[in-house]
Amino acid sequence: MKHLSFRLGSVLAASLLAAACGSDNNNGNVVSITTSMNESQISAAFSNAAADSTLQFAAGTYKFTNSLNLASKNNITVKGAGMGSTILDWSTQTAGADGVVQANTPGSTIKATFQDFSVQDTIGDGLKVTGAGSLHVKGVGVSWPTRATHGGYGVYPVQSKQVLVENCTVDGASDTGIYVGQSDGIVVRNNTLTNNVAGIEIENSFNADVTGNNSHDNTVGFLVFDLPNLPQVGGHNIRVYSNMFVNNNHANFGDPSGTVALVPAGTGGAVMANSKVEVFGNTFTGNTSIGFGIISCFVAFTQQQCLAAAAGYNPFPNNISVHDNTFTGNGQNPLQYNTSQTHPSYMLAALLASGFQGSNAWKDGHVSDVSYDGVLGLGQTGNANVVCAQSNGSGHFANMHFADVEGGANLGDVLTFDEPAYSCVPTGFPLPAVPVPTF
Amino acid sequence: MSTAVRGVIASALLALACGSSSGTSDAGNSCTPKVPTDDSVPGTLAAWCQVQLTNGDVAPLADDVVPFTLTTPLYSDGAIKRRTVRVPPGTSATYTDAGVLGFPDGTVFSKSFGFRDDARNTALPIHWIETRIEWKAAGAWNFISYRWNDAGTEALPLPGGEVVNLSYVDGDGATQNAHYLVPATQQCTQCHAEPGTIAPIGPKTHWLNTDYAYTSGTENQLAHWSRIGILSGAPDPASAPRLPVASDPDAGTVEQRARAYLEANCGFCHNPNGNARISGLYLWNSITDPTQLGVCKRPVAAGPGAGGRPYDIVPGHPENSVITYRIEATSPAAAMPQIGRSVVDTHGVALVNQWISEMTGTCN
Repeated sequence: MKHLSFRLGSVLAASLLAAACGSDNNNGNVVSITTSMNESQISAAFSNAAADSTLQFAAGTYKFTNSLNLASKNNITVKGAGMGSTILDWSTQTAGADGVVQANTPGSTIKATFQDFSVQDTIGDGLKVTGAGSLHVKGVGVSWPTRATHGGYGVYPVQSKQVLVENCTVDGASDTGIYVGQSDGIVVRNNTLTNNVAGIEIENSFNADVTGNNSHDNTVGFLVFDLPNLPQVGGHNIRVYSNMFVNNNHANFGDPSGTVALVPAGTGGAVMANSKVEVFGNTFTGNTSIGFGIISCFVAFTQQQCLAAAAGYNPFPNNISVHDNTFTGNGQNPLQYNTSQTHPSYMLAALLASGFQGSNAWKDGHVSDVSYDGVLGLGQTGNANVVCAQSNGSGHFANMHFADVEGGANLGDVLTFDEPAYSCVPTGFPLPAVPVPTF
Repeated sequence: MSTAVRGVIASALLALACGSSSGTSDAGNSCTPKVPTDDSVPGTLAAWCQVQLTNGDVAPLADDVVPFTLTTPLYSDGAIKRRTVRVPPGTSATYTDAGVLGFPDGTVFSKSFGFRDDARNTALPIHWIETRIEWKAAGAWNFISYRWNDAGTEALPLPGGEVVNLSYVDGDGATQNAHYLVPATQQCTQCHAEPGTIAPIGPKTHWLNTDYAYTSGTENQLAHWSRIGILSGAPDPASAPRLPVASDPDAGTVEQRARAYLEANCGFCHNPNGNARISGLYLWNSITDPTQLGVCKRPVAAGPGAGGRPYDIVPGHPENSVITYRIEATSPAAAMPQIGRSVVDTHGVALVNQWISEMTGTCN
């Protein structure tokens, strides 16, 4: 016992030394973190991490009661021994809203890397980084294996630039698995998203490539949304290509106040507002409500909110091109997995379902694979490359004429399947690739 | 080995490792404050020569360490707080109407947090949990919290923070069980980022412009600071801005007091440059745009934190407003502020709810 106490005392003293002498203490720029350290010691290492250092976790499970806030210093790497090997566990969290956090001031040029560890059971978001100048998230897993109420976001970069999220897995987020908001220069590739409300969301962002992801068994595979009343609006230049969006039929368990709560279970993907979005080469399979939807702000927000938004906000989608995708087995039964009539997601599911009856009902027994709300901006009189759909195999295109539905018409009476009018390539397409951020 | 012995070993090692910036654990009753010229952290609170515990309360250790208060403070689980400031001899802070006063390099703030077992009985001792130190060196602000030992004889740096589970009876006689957070150093900057850079939050004219009972007598703080030479350029306090004491019904209208409360408790993050800038919800007292203030504003990335409520503020309906939900929440999944509060500030909630209740209009 005496021997043990002495050892603990030494650990404590060493940790205080590391902490107390400021930021010049990272010998060799690698700080080793092992399971023999307590939470406060690990948190001190995060607080005191020096620029250009690596916080290297050994394999093992680490329990935390408080968020783990990383120093806002340049070029820090937080690295584990592998997803599933290094497990950061917040199942007993009592303080701090999230798991791993880095909060940078506006316009920072801070570069950060997070890789090869798992985050579990955070009360809020798994990994949240605000205001990075350059961010690499690689091989990070986020899940909620024991917590009844799951946190909102798995991997959550926001107001950041040069963002690369790859080879991550997020399972069970109550809002979105990988959510990139108000950012610029984004590559989200080769991730696996399951059992989230939304698998991937690119929101109010510029210049993003979403590719090689496998997003299945969520409520919706992916969203590209632009919302009013945020500091950055006017989302544009987004490419979603060569992804798998399969069986996204999970009942929507999003908080009813959230935007994603409006999305029906069984949605392959959707774009709201935004300009210059190219969706191509993806596989949409087995999403029971709809393969892919294109909507305006007015479907989710009030007219006042959409029109009175800050300068730069365009509530209408513009230059959305959907081409060369494979659609199979989508949209057969929008109400199949939307059974809670009190959840906001029921409204659109019921609306889609209503299109099966009427003089212009859905064709071939399923909601059209590329369906557009048809709400035109002031001064817009026709399509004029607002929405283009080409070469999507057997995937039908439909204009849902929501303005008429809003006026009381039955969806199944107003649907039009005028594919020739929407067979186009917007000016400036194909969109350029987003340079992959380098680290 | 006892905690105290370990602490001594740690202090000794610190003293060796950090050279002149560390100190002894017994600074006595008079000393000269020493301030690091960089971000290095002295190994004991005593080494700063700023404050000590005397007769169970926080007392300045040097004559030029000046205690102060704020008209409306941040609520921190109901903690009793003591604040001091010291600027280097011969220097002064520069006055500004808005924002944080211009403090020179070498400025040190201390803020101590403690609890009585029963807040209604001021004869009871205060259990001091921590003293946070904030100092300016080479133009940058730095932070460290010192954790008091149970006996209140020594406080050592705790850069990794600690969740302290404690129980007390509040001023209304209700038992409160707090997960009180001693913040990790990096968590300090989660809130102390208000102007887009790391900085103090409280020492602004509109919070300081009130009386303080100095040992030399009661005096307005701006006037006192000017008189002793640690503040330059300040006008007569009567013509300087002031935000009311939110908890004092006679100090202003419900709206004025609620807005002061929201700035003090939310505005450090919820402003165009703060950590919650991403939400577009801004709660500084100076904000006039109703949407930015949350009126009929949809929550954005709140996830389950919005409690299913449609707007941040629904006029006339605090029970439908996200702001009310979040300031009434105690789970960190929804509680606002995000850190530093695990107990509901019932008086603050009542004030904000009254303000929302008295608003008119609808959200459609």
